[in-house]
Amino acid sequence: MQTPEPQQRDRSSTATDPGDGSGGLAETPTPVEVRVHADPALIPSVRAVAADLAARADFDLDAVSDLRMAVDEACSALVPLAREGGQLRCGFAMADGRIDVICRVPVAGEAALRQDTFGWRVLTTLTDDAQVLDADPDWLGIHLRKQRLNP
Amino acid sequence: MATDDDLTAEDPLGVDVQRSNGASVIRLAGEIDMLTTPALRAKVNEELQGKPTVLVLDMLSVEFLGSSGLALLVEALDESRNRDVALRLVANSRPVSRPLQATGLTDLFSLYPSVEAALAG
Repeated sequence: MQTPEPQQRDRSSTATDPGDGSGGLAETPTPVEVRVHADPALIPSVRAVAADLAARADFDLDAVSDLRMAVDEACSALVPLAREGGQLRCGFAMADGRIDVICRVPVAGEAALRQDTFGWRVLTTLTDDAQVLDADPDWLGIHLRKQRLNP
Repeated sequence: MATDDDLTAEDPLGVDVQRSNGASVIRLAGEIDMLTTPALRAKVNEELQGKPTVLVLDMLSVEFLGSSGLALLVEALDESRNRDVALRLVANSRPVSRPLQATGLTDLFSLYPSVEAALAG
């Protein structure tokens, strides 16, 4: 005898189109993805991966430093908003002399990213583009883009 | 009071304070991020409250400086001015100089290449 299990809540995000045409924010396919508990203690590992990927993609040293800081800032902004027990997921895509990063956490209720903070200003200063991804009701994310060469 | 106990060798940020002749030197080693900034803030405030003539932040061994650390530096600068303390940073490597430069903060601070130079002013 099987009764329907209440798993849909967890899965619903994958079935929800966030409006960016890519399916749910939770499952955003990229060549490299890091998934960790949404715990501040694990952010150093995520930013280290970002810096490593940038270095291997021939980013100049300032750009590597900038991306490491930007990813740190994105994760630091998102982790406190994560649902209890949730995962921080950061996907990385390297192409055309740039790296795109999509960091996101599962959220409950009305989690919102403040963009009037010093941290957000730092983040936008360090990257070529930074966008909040808030179309998915169950996940909140930040999309960063960093070019290999600083302008 | 618990902050001293927190600063063990296993911490990602080492903080060591030395005082002499009215000057305080806080030597930092490791990573300054959202995790380590609160304990550092407590240390910096403690030193500022002692009103040294000079407070030197030795950041030569800092490997990462995130926005929370940058915010702390700006706070410390404001507070040092309120208390008539000369705040001086020792930094000569990319992990510190790049974040300051990229965020346009370099010119706010008095930067020195060594602790000796910072103490000499």
